[in-house]
Amino acid sequence: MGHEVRAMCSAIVHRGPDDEGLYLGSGVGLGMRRLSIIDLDSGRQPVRNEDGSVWVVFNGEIYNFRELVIRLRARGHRFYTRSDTETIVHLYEEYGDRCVDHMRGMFAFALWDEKKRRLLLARDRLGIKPLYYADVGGRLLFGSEIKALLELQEVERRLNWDAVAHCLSYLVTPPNESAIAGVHKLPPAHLMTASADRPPAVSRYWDLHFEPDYGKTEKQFIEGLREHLEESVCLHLISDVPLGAFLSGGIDSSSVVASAARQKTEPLKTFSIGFAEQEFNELGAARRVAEAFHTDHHELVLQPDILERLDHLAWHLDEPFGDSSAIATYMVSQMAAQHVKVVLSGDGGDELFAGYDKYVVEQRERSRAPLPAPARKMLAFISRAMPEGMRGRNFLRHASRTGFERYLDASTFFRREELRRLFEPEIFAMLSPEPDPGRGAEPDGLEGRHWLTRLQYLDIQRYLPLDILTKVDRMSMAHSIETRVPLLDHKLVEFAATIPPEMQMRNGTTKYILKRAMRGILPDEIINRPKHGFAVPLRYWFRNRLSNYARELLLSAPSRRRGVFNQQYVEKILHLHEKGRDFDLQLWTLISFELWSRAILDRGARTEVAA
Amino acid sequence: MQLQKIRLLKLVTNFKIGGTERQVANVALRLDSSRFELHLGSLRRHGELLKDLETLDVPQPEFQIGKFYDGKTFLQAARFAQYIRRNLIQVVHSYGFYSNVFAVPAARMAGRCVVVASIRDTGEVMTPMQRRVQKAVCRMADCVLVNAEAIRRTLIEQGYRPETIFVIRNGIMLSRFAAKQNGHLLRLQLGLPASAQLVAVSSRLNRMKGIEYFLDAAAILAAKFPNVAFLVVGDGDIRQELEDHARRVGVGRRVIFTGFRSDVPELLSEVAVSVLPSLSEGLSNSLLESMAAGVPVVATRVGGNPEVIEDGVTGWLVPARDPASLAEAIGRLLEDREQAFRFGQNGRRRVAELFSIERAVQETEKLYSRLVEAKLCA
Repeated sequence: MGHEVRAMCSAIVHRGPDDEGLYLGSGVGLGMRRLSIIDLDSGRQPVRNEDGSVWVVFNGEIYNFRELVIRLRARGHRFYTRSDTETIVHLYEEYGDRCVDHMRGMFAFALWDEKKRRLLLARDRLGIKPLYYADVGGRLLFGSEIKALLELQEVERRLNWDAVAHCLSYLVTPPNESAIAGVHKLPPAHLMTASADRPPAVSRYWDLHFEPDYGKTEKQFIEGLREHLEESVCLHLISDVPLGAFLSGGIDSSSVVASAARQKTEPLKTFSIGFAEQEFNELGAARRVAEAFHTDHHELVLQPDILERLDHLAWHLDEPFGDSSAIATYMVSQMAAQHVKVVLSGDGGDELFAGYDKYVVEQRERSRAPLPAPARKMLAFISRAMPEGMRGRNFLRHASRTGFERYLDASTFFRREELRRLFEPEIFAMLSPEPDPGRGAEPDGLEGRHWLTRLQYLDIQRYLPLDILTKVDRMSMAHSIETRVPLLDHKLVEFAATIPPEMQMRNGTTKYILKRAMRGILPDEIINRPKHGFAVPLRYWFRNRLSNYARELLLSAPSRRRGVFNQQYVEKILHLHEKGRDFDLQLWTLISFELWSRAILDRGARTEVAA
Repeated sequence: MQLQKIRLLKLVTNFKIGGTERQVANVALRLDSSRFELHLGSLRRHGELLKDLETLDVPQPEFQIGKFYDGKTFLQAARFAQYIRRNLIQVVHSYGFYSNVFAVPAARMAGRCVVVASIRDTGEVMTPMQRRVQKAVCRMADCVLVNAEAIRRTLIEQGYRPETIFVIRNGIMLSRFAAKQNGHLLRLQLGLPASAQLVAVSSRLNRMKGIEYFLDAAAILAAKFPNVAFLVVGDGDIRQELEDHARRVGVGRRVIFTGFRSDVPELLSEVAVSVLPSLSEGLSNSLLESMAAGVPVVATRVGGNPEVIEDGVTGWLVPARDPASLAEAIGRLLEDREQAFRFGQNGRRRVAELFSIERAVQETEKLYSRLVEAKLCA
């Protein structure tokens, strides 16, 4: 088994180039690639407890580990390292599976209890760190990335077509599955336990409860938020290696930078990315924040030709991935890796503090009187009868929906009837019958709660772990640096869930409480700017300089041979986009599928990555 | 696929005019009759709202109970349980303390139906004993339905299980509050000059409503705003007391007690500022109606009021029992008519966004369906 574990490790060397460690017991093997950040010398993994009966491999950071060490020492535990990893085994001895309740931070770990001959897998509350598993051939396999699992014979490179269809519709694969059949994600806030005599069992250990506190005034929330943010950033600064921050010029990353810069003595290193296209260029705003907090600022301007140099992007992403901002994150991580080993980022702010423009749109639609049901049915009928790409078709379909369904519809890219035309018929025939678009999405027990609360919960459950956090982890790990997300400290998240929705978004102003809290700390122009983010101007690129790139890739011989997509239909989308309709996200998803197929399916997982 | 209708029994105490009763009537009238077979029960089938329900062609059984715990009550409980079994009722939904205490245990005994108990106030006026009884009864229910986050929070603090509490907020008919009425006639009726500005409280007159603080605020504002008339719309036990209070603080002539009025939408369309000085509140229909009429509101920061009013957007929130703050907020809206207009418009939009009757009905239907489905699967 040793060579298998070692092979799995070697597939993810980029996640931990500093060290490797193995534990091999009877019937079990744990392997670890380490990126040393805390306790560089003695923190080698796997880490064990006092008598060597509990072993753990761990990816992530436990930010409250110093406090935990003191508590555990007081209870008689002896530590042989100064790493955060060791707290896990002792917490496990004290609290069993509930050890996770005491951990504050991001984590994915595998813990082996030798006496009970029982494995415990755990993933942090919000899904910052990844964990995949496959239960095949009588063995439970797990790893931080799918490519590690693909090292083993029993994991076949067979596609999960429903997951691929999900990706085409929603840009990401479903919460519990992956693009590879049989390989699953362990969802955020879940544990998995397994032993020889019992099949693996998955259970949730934490959930976010939105309990708005209407008794508190705005001022109390503003002060509370400042305190929570300060505390979280303080904890996230713990590191024995150089640390920097991504800075987009938006309020989230700027807030993190402001707080970090004020707590650090030496200048913080900050990293920004921009594009030649003015509309997408955030460098000016980022520079403004960098100046205000005297950071050591680095910038990079991306040109369309970077797309042709992103060979490894798809391999690192592990799955087809429709969010093109991964490109920007990949490049900014590459730049940061030359200077630091750890970066802070502002991810999570849009979900926590209601920052998305789609929430404003939803509010506007809700304040309109709903159409009567017969009229909606009529519109739906007409829109279905209209040909693809005809102007007004999407509008009519959209108008025919209400509430939650409409919100989901607005974030769906290839819809069922479009998938039918996109896939070759024999592929489409393999899909499960029409999945309910909101399957598992409409959260139970949130009926009747404020619509904004429900949308935020939905986005925290799905969009955040599946898209944002997957992107941030994979793109930074590709360059062997660690990203930390101080806004997703669970104490801060739980606090944010007590802010009433009418204060989260006030008078059409998104992130109202966060903006008020940062007033006087950040420059006013940063607070007042409309929302941006590291969006990539693919819309223009695909119409101009990259139209050939997209065309050649999607209609290439390998793509044709694959026989997945109907080439005429793909050509039609390319054509419509060139003519001015926006299909950039659909095109990018198709491109990402093609690139991923080449990187993973065609060649096999063991692809050497040039540093 | 044509699903079978869900058989639903709602139970209210009576049909007198009140926020709960009106809400039940409005939802009952709009429930999708192709999906729900409604039975609208009551403990006493009388009250003004029966008139509105004339068009509703559904069974309306009555379960007259005497005092609690006398023989008659048990007899009625048995009848109630029998009614549920005989009509194959799948969902029993009761409203208010007395209905809950009567219906929930009886429905539980009747068998495999889903039991929903509604609580629509924060229980300030209840005795500790009543609170304990309510909690014990609600523990037997599958779901406790409340109409404000504030009530949900109070119940959780009292030890209710959070996962059983659902919030569906009141809905009102926005269209009733559309047109501007003949304001001249209204003022003539009230004996006011055509140019008079109106500041109004519309509420039942009881101690929890804090009307005396409104009168104190009127006394502060009276001299500065000679053109303003203060209206107290509604009736109740303490009306005489309040009239005396108004005279005592020197605004006997400036405050008009209109008594109960059936033309609230028309009246509101003429009001400059609407005030709710409550000491405790669930989800106030009076606030919703004012906002629907496009009137800026001033209310105390208690109960569900902060959920209705967005402070500084649709109105002002002030501390309870604080006439000076109340007067200041009212005064600000009287002076800054532009802000008042903006608040009014925002308020109307907010009601459409969050408090439409269509939404309330839709959410209620969805809740019933889900509970029935969960029961079937269990």
